Amino acid sequence: MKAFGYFLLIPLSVILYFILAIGIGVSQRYPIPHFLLMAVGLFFLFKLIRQKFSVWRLLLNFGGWALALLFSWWTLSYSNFGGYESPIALGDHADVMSVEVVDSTGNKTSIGALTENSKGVLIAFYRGHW
Amino acid sequence: MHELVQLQKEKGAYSEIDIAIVAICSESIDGLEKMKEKSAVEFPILGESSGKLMDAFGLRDKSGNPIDGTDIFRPATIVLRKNGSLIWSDAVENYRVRPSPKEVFFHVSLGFKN
Repeated sequence: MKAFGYFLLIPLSVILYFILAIGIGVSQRYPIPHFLLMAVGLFFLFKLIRQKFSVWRLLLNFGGWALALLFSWWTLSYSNFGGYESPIALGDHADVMSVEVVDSTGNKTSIGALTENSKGVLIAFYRGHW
Repeated sequence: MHELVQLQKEKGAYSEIDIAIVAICSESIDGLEKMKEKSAVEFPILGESSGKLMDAFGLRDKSGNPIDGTDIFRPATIVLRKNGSLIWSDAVENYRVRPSPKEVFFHVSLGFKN
């Protein structure tokens, strides 16, 4: 029971990451509090299995490490793109206003057509709906 | 999606300085519709699959789609004048880490003042 409680610290830190970092932007880049919480869980899981071995405790140790490593890989490696250098310098002309785009109802249009009554446009590029 | 919802909240401030907002990704029309429903934003959510915009701004994330392995946009915010001249660009180094809406608005309003 105690071991399960320590194991829960690990998924809990992942859930807290989604709520705090993704939701409100706390510790977004380096999720140190979440790593610390995971480390506490893993430390006590290891301590318990050293005190008394059981298959159940072993599984919780493996599960905890798997989850912690997956989280570390996602936050520190998979989601990284590296530096960005814009191919267009500030003030230079980007020949994109007439590029054909499609809206959510299937109509073809262009950025220029959608923004003809504005001084300019902010374009938010994003990955996808998943 | 969180970023788009945040932009929606700031939409009034952008309207005041006469800046339109659009969101672009490489989704199918189905995906765009889902996104529009989920985010409930009022500005257009657009799809661009030819890759012209990705390449124009250097935003091609090769095989970045975790579902089908196609190329997708690296998350970024680009601000252009009506004539297409670049005012500000910011592409995230990590897709979990986005600039705050206030930071974006600061750069946009500064760019249009100059």
